[in-house]
Amino acid sequence: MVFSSVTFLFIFLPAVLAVYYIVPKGFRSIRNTVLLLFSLAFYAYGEPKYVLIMLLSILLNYGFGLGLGRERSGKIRRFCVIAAICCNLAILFYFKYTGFFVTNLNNLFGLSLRFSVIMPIGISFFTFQGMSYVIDAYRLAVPVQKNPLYVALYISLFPQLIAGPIVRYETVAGQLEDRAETLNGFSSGISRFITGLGKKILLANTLGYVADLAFTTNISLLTTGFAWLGVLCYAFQIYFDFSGYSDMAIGLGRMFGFEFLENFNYPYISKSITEFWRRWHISLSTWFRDYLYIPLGGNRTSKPRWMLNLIIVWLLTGFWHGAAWNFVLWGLYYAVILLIEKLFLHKLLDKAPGFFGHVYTMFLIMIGWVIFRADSLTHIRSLLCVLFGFSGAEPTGQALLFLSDYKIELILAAAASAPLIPVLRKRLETAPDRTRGVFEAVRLASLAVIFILSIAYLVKSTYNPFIYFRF
Amino acid sequence: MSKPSTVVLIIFFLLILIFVPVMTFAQKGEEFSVFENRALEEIPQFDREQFLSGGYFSRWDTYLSDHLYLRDEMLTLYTKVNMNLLGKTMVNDVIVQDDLLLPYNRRYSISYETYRANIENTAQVIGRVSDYVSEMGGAFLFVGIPEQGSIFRNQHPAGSYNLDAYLTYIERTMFDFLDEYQVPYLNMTAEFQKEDDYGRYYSTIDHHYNYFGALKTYHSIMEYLNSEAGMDLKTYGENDLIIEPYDGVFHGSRSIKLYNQYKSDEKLYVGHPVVNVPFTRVDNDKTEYDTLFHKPFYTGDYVFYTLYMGGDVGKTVISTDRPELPTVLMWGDSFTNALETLMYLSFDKAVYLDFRHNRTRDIYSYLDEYEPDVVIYVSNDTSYGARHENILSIESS
Repeated sequence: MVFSSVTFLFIFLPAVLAVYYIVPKGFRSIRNTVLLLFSLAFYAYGEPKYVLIMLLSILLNYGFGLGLGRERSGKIRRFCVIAAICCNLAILFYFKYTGFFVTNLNNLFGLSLRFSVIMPIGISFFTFQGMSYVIDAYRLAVPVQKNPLYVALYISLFPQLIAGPIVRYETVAGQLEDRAETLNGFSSGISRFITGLGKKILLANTLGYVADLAFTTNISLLTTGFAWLGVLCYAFQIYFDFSGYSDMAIGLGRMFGFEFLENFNYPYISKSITEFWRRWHISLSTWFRDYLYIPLGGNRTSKPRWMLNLIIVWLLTGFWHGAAWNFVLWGLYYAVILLIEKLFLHKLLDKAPGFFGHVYTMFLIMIGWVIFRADSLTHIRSLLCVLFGFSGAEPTGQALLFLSDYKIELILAAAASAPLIPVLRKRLETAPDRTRGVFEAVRLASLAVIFILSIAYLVKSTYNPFIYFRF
Repeated sequence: MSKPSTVVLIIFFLLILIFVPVMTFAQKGEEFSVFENRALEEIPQFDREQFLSGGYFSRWDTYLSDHLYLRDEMLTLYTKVNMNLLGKTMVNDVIVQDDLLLPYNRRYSISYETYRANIENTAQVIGRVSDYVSEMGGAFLFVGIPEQGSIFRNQHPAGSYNLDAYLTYIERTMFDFLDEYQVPYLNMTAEFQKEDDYGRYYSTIDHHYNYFGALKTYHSIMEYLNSEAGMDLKTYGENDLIIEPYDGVFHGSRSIKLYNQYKSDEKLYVGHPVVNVPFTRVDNDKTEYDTLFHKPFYTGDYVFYTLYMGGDVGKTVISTDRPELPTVLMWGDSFTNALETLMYLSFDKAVYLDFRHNRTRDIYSYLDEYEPDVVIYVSNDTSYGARHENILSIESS
């Protein structure tokens, strides 16, 4: 089940809200149980068998977590955390990466090994969350959770289950046991949810159509103009798809009293790739920073070792996104750029006009998305050739036609990529009441329009892909 | 956030979340969507296999989407926004121009070898039928009719794909093979384009030709039969017919995709002979009609191209009780429908077949049964390179 579906909007969400809030406020454990059962049902919908994998993950993390209490010996604690990490990675590796390695072994050694297993949805997210719990408990950042319900709820909580954000256990541990569901929080959650829904359906899906057209056009027929338009549309698609989903997750969390951390911070206004990765998929980059990069030594080590740490982290970041060589290449691509920036380029970027930094960053990001989106390494090469003018296709006017047809969506996407609303909100803090009242009315009306239009587009859609779904 | 706006937003959101599903389940379920020309999903029956594989849930998703309260209104809103507010040229797979709707074609790499093989197969099948008819003493004719998007291909806006290379290739290949297998044919693309204003033969909102296009085709067929096949058949001209617009808003196959947001005053035309030609009509050996122009039940009050003969029918036999006239057998796709309302006028008996809806018998059994003097196969040009039932199924049941 996905948030942007008729079933979720009109069956699941009303049902979970109704059952949750029927339970009186003081009965926290019952409310949590309701959330847990609905979360498991959410996951089971569409793939009932794989809820067992989820339950196994919960059991393993809970079980090993019990061995991490302060009272345990260091040896036992180390064993439990290593075992937990190994089990989580084993589950992830089996379902997500075995096929990749089998295919490569077959190609390298001419073998005919067979391996076919369907990857459970969201496995990359919930295994990382499971590891977050055991590592935080090992580090004594949080007490061990003795109540299996809370561990289960943390790992399976439906708002962030299948596409993040990766919620760190220490950020929600307290909220699992004690949180406040308020009218303001609920309303804020609705607002955030509708915004995310609009981003996903009205912008991401719409521009994704153009992107898909460009990326699936036979190379011999792809013009340079249309290729660039396709890449631009993909850049918007992936941003609004993923950030939209994160907004919906954060909004849904608020409806139930949870406060999740932000996952995106207007990444396309960045003036360097270093800055970009502080603004894009923040939960993943901080996860890798805190649970891999820093334990490896981070930058508090020799330069060669630091560079190696960076490369390892980025290769794994790329690989986390998908079991294919283009994702590995994508990770390596950013590793190299980040190294260059950190070694010397950042000094130049700091001195250069902001516009130059924006152009430089967006250009590299778009090239990165080509690597990310392409079907194969060969496809990457072909696309890059076309982008840089080596296209054998006759100009057809296709790029202009699509640019004209999608101009409004592109303008809206560009505007939505900039922090206009936060700037406006800040200015309104000192504005007279009347002005704030008008703004509030406009905001409400806009949310209503976005919601209705999103439903209309949703009903229309036969085209509702979910990019980060496959992770 | 102020308290009033907090409450307003919560009420608005919850109202929609509750009202829509309640009304969805409360309303009477429709079985067919006229707008989408398809049957709507039924309530899924539980199946263990499908449950475990997730198929059961996706069928519930489809059911809910198909029957969602205000679905048609939402689809209309979507189309309105894209056509009128966003001013898009391409909406719902239709290219929207001021005076014409064309198909939105996706650009793809064409395997000419595949199409060539398909066309050769088609020509071989038609050739066998043509030979069979000749041995029976009859006349065979293949009639190729351009689809609306084909005849108007030069009116696609710059940047959109008009399939010109594909259409030119398959047309040339088709008639080359028909020449090779010595099958007589009429290329209506060439016939229509002899006139500068050939556009008047075609609908601006549907993929078919209009009644006048069917009339022109009928005239071309009769001219061929009388001049090349040695026949002497009466051809009904415009003076022999009362041609008048059918009362009712015409919804073309392209305009219906735009949920009636494209305003057109185009009408469907119907024709009756000035001097009545009484006939009996039987569809599929069981259903009798006394008219050739009627709407199928599933279209409700909407007037579609299915007005002609009630749409595609597997088998229709029209008898006029004029034994001095020959018998015609015609098979093909929906481009025969309007033509069927004219062909019977010149014959004693007209047998119309559509093997997409009739696979009980092969073409030879019909030829043996009815012993037609004239056999016609009608195909629209976009189908030349395709594999379809009107060729694949006709030699085996």
